[in-house]
Amino acid sequence: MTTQFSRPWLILGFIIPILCLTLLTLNHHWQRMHGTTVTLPVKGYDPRNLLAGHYVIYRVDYGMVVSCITPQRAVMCLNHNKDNKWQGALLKEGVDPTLTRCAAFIKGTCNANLFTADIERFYIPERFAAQLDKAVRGDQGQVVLKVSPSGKAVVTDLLIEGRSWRDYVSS
Amino acid sequence: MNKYLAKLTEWHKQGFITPQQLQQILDYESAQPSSPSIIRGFIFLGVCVTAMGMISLIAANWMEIPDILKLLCDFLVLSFIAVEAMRYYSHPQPLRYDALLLGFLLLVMASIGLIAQIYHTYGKFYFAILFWSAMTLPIIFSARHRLNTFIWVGLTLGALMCWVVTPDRGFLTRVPQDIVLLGSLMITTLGCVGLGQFLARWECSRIFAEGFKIWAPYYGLLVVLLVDNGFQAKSILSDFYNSPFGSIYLIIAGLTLFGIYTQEKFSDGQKYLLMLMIVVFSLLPLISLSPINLRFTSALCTIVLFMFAALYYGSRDRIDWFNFFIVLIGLRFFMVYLQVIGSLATTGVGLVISGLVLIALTSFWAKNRNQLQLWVKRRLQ
Repeated sequence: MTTQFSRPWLILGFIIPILCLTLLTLNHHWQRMHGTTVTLPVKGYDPRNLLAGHYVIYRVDYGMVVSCITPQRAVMCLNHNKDNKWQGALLKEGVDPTLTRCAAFIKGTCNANLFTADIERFYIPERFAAQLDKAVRGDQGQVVLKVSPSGKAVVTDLLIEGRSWRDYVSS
Repeated sequence: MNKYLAKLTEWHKQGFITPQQLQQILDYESAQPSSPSIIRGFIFLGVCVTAMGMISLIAANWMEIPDILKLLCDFLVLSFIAVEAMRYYSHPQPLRYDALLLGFLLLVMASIGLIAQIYHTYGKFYFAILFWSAMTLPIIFSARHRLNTFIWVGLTLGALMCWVVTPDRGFLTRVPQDIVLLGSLMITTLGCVGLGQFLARWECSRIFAEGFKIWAPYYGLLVVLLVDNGFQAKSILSDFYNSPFGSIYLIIAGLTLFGIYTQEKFSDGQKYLLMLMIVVFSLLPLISLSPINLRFTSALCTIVLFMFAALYYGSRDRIDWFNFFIVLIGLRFFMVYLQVIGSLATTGVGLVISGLVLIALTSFWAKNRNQLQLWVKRRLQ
């Protein structure tokens, strides 16, 4: 017979995962509500099967040529260009993005000339996969991000021809 | 009942049991309530069908369901399972609690996926599993069934392994991939042995320790098979002790050896056998430095380690593992035999001799395995 856990310990054991998941959700939600809104064009498409449908995998176009070979942590500094569009500049490793003139910055990884920040995926329902596939392939897609002051970015919407994908598929 | 009836009739005919005993057994068995396994099976099937239906409904209306409702439902179900599990914790049938705990553990993992899907975030899957492991670590100590700890330890170790051997592993990029793989497997093996022994000292973590103990031979076996046959250039492996893995491994090995030495549940024979096994296991990366033929050294190390493992499990009354390792020894010997006679094995005479060797080994084993296990047990206990 194994030792019995005391009631408070047992309750704590079950509460910890629920509390962690709640905090995770609240953190994502807070980021979605706050932070700088950044809209960037996307390229590429890769549909994958998932229980609730598909997701789109794309490459975010930061308006610059990314150059790195080995995997390294990197920071993408974002500013508005002359056309009032977001333009990225990859900061070297060790450069403090808060000390440079960045309207927003995203922390991520640079590998094989590609900057990624865990924002390269967007979940879509299966029945709209073909329609959205066609649109994103035609370079009509954009992602709307919320970037926190600490450099964490979350995707809030996928735009097709400047409209939210929900409006696009319903029109 | 039917499957025993033929046996009972046979035993009665042979005179092993009297007609009275036969009747008593039949009366006793017929008085027992019918096996509820069929009923349980149908209930389980019904639950599965209902769950599938609910999942289908959710999946079909996924887009229409507001995110907040999805999250709310998820947290409600999670809380409901947690409350039910707590209610059944002191129940005389521990299986109910463990079934609910398993459901809770799986739902926590599914919740991570749901949150990622709703907020369009993603990362490496092993980070999600490690996050799950960290969150569920306190509650896994309350498990009473090995299955839960087996799953938890397996997933956690698997995620840790994936994290270490992944190509963009940061500070380890300069270490050859073969050494990274071997190092992480060797550390995991010994870590499982060490933690299995360490956690088993307390009653509250005994079941948790079982999870590590179950995985230890699998990882160990993987290391032995990889060193014996997997790595192309064995000479690279000799750099193992110059890598960061070597130092970590030696520290874990030292702690594990100390833990085994001070373990009161083992007899002296079992202690020395385990310690010897760890020493030979630790020498595996250095086999290319052997002055004698590399193939021979490799086969010798493998057979010796399998033999130690068989002796250990035999002395601990683990017949399944004892038989398994004895069969592996036989197979490795047969491989040595095939390597020695080389292309002769493909000739008619070679095939006849190989077949006869295999039959002889199997027959010998089939006749003597019980005596062998008993002998091992007597010598080491």
